[in-house]
Amino acid sequence: MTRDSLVKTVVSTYEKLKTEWTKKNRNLDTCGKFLSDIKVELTKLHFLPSMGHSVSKEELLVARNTLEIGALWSIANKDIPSFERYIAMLKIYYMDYSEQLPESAYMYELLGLDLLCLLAQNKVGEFHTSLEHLPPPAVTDNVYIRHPVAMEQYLMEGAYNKIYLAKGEIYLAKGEVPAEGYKFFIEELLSTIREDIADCVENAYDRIRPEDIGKMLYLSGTKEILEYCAQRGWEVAKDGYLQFKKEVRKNDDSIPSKELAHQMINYAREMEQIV
Amino acid sequence: MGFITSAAGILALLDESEDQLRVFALERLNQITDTFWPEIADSIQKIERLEEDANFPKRELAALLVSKVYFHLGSYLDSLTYALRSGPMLHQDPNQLYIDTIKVHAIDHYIKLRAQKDAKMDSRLETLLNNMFQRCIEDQQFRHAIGIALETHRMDWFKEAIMTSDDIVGSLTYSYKIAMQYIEQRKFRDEVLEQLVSLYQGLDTPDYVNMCQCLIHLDKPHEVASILDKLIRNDSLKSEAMDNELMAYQIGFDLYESATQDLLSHVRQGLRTTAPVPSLLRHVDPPATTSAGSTTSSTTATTTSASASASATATATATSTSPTSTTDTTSSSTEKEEKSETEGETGDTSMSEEKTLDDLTDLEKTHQTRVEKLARILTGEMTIEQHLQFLIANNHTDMLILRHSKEAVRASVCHTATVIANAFMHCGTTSDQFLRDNLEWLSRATNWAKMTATASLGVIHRGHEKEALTLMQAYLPKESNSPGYAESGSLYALGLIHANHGGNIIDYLLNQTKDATSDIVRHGGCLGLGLAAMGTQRTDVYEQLKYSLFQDDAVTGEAAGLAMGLVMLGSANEQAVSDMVNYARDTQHEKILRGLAQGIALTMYGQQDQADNLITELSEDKDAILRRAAMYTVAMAYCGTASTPAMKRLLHVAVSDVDNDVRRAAVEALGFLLFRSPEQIPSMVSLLSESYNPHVRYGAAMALGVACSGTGQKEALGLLEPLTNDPVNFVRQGALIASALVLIQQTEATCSKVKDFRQLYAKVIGDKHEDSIAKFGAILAQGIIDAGGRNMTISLQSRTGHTSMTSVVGMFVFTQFWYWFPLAHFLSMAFTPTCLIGLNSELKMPKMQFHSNAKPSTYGYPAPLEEKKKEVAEKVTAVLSITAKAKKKDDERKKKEQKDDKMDVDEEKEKKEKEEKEKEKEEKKKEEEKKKEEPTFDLLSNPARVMKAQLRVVKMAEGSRYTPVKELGIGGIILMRDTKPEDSEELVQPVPALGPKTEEETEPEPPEPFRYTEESIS
Repeated sequence: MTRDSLVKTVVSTYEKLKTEWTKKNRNLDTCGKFLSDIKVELTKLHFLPSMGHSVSKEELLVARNTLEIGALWSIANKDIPSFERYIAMLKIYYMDYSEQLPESAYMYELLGLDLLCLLAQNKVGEFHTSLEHLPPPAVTDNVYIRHPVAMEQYLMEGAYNKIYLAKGEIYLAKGEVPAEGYKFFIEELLSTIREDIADCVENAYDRIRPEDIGKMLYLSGTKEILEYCAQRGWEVAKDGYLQFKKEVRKNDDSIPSKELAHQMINYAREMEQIV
Repeated sequence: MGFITSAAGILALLDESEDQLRVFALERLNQITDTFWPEIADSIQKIERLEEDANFPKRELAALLVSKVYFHLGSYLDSLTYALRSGPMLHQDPNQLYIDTIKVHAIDHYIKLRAQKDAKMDSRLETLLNNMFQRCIEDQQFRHAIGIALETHRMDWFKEAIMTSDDIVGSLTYSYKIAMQYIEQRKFRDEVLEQLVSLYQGLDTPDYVNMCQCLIHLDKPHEVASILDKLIRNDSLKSEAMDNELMAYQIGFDLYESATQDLLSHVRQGLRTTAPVPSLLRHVDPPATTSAGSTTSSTTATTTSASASASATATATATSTSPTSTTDTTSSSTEKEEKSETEGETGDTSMSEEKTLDDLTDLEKTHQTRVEKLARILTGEMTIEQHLQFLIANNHTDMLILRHSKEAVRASVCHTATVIANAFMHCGTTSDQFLRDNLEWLSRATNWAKMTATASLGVIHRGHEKEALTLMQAYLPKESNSPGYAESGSLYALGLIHANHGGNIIDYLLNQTKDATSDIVRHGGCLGLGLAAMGTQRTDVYEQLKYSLFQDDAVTGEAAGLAMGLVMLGSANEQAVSDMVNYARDTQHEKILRGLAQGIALTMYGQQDQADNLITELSEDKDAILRRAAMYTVAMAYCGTASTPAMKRLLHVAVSDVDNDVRRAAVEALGFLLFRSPEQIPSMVSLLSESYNPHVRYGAAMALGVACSGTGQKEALGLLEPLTNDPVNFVRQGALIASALVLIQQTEATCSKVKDFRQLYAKVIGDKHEDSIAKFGAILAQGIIDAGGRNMTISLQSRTGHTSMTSVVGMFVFTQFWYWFPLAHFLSMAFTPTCLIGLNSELKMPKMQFHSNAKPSTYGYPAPLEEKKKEVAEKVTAVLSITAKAKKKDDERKKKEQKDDKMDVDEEKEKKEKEEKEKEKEEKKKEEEKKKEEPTFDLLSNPARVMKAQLRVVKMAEGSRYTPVKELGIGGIILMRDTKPEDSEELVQPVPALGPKTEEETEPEPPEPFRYTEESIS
């Protein structure tokens, strides 16, 4: 098959995928099948070009658009690893080939999602690395990017309530939400935060009432609280308090004086012996 | 066009479920590994998993990728493992550095596996190596191929590499060199050498010289004998390129230079059985040579003088004086008896043998003559004679130097030193002029100093074996009541004359030792016996020495312990070692312990790892002297190997032992290990030479001297120079001696510092405030630097690159002068004449010339001291020191004498009466000399003094009728082929040996051309 005909096949598959994806009641499985088909076919072309190949714009576009759909598809599938993979591949097109392609409409949305995704997994270091790759105006002005940046700021300040509020805002005022996909990650983020707080609570308190912990963990109903407690393996004692088992840490801070003295004497002797 | 900034996208594909995508990802990654390996390294486990997945289609690709990542990570063994799994893909990789690194590690790994016998060999690795080897051959990189073959112990490759190479002879020489230098395991080296022998044999013109060298190392005297026999038996091998007869003689000389006494005697035995009239060979000298028509007047003279001396010495037995200079020294005593039986009937048998000789055909007669000649060569008689001739003829000793030191010093230590220095300077020249001129001064030596002085005659007459007994006659033990120091010295001297070439003197010494009445005489006897019977492993000698040892007498025991080691040199005889070690543990005498320590070390000479157990045992002993013995043993067992574990042990002891002597011995031993690579030693001991411990500094100096002896190495001198100003007297002594060892025979052209050091020695000797211990060093240094009439150098390896056993032993025992001054004489064994001697097929020196392509001054003799200088120096001392009038008178008388001397020596100066004028003229002269253009070459006449560095520029003079059998560049004794045999040859007249003539001699000797020789000397 010639290159042109290959490209044509890919484009036609892509068209099918696109129509399926834009349908109201899209079938995620069909989309997944189309996606993997396209990827396999792309490998025969210059997919993910690495070393200075000249690639036609059409090929690049098709590949990019497919991957974008793939990323969104992953979110819809709630498949975070798959999402990360698509993003990793997309970054080649976004960053390294930015000069040869028109900027994609989805670019900042997906990058923002990526940032949020990293934040949700508590990968703060990588979050900042990714942020560094973005142009400064985008960080301050772009709505998609600003949101995860703000979230990260709250997180660092320890203003967990603001994140909780942000979530609330998303639900209350739909206009504020940058994109549909963000909800998914905000949920993820919150559960990550909750785990964090729960870890701290375990260490900070000997015992606590379930109601109080509900406030701290942004859990509203008693049922939710109890479910969560069960999940963490916390048990409610008879007096209605949660008891935390403290791990007994071994204290081994004694100075190994004998060994040190021995070593020092050894050094001294060797120093004397050296020549 | 575009370049990506991260491999994350491609790596993400690895997690896809379709193989096609993963393969695609691997391919992409493979292209970019060299840039993005840090990122890929994070996901290396994923790739490894793919590689292990049996269903994955491109496992090799994955393996290659993993290998490359490990390569970048610096984990080469992992990289190699995966590279092997990647199969043929490996060779297509464009990254040359990676391929090279993998290959290097593949070779290393293969060598490691081959070294472990039971290791399982990876067949893929083997194929890889095979391919590499083939490529080496295809690319004509034969030396690489030989190297790989030797390293991997693959004899099949080794053979193939040599046989396919374009320069087979060159490859063989190269292989021989690396086999001797770099292969440490003895067993494998033997295997390689055997292979080499068979290859040499297979050449169109077999290379017998090198073949015999290999056989020496393999210790196969019978093969050597059969080769020699083949060469002399018939002339069918004779061709344009090779004269088989001369070749055989040449091999004989080479053999004597590099083989042990034991091996040589076996070769001689082997040869004897092939001779047409074997029994004749026992008495080569008078009857056989006469009948063969090659009588030398000197040999006849020997016989007469020897028998004359025999009658004079009451104790000598018939056996020891009968003229059997070529008889074998065999270890079995039964053969000994048998021999003396035959010799008892010398007169009758020789008569009947002459008849048998007449019956022989012409062909057999020539054969017989040749065997006889060869036998004489193999006994070393010829070599020693030629060297003696060379040294006597070319003696260039500067007597003034000696006279200066004689007059400058008063202490008895320095007196002894001067005597020893004189011995070194005249080593082998047979000129005892200095001693005879200063008999009164010499008589100041008493007790052991007397012994040393007498023994110094042995050094002076080194190799002058024919008249040894006559020479020493005045001092040999007789019925008298004297304490026996001179007697002791004379026996020691006999040993020195016959060092490593005992012959019949062994029996004489054995009897003397047996009959000796005092411990002092026994001391000298033991030393002499040890020297003469060196390395023979004779049981009777050994038993006698052991008996002497068991007397538990300190004086005798010390010498006996050392001598036992000398007799058992390099044998690793278990019985001997256990005798010595056990006695060492029992005895109370430190002197005996010292002697035994040296003896034990000598017994383990050259044994390398076989000595390890003993070394470990001794080095853990409580007794410091035994620990020192361990260090000596390391020095001897590993001499010249530069073995890393041995050096580690020495360096450890050098900084950790509590005993100063042990530390010093350990540092000194480093020198013995590293003499093959003198360039390494300065960096190794540079820190030690700055040690706070003076003993370690002394050791460092001596190590430099030993390892860099005769090289004139600048780095070594750079380290020694500050040590000559050391605050501790004996460190200065060590530095002075070591510097002389390094600078021996160097001229200003080859080493600019030599002048400074010579001046330094003179300064130290003349300095009133200098300690006598340092002066001792300076005087000895003067002796060493001008050794053997300025015609000798020190080298612990022979010309062909073997470890020279006698030199190593001589040097080792010399370093023991620290405890016992008389042992300093052992250094004479380490001196080798720097000569180039051409011999014709009659083993005579024809007149010929060599062309030295260098300015005469580059390698010439240093200018003799100026008389005048000395006078000035003396005036100063006279003003400063002399107060007594008597002394003044004495001085004036001396001055007069010297003036007379001067007139004799320097006739030109005689013309000028005033010193001032003389000076001016001299300066002018010098300027003139400078202006005069020096010729760029020099013609040297046979026998020529050619220094080691000079050998490279020496060739036969143009139009010479002679052509050498082997390359001139090796030096030493070289057989010359006469291209015009029809013309008569002009021979170099042999020079008579100097030395005292006994007055009792009834026969009128030819008048000694005394005046004549002295003029020619100065």
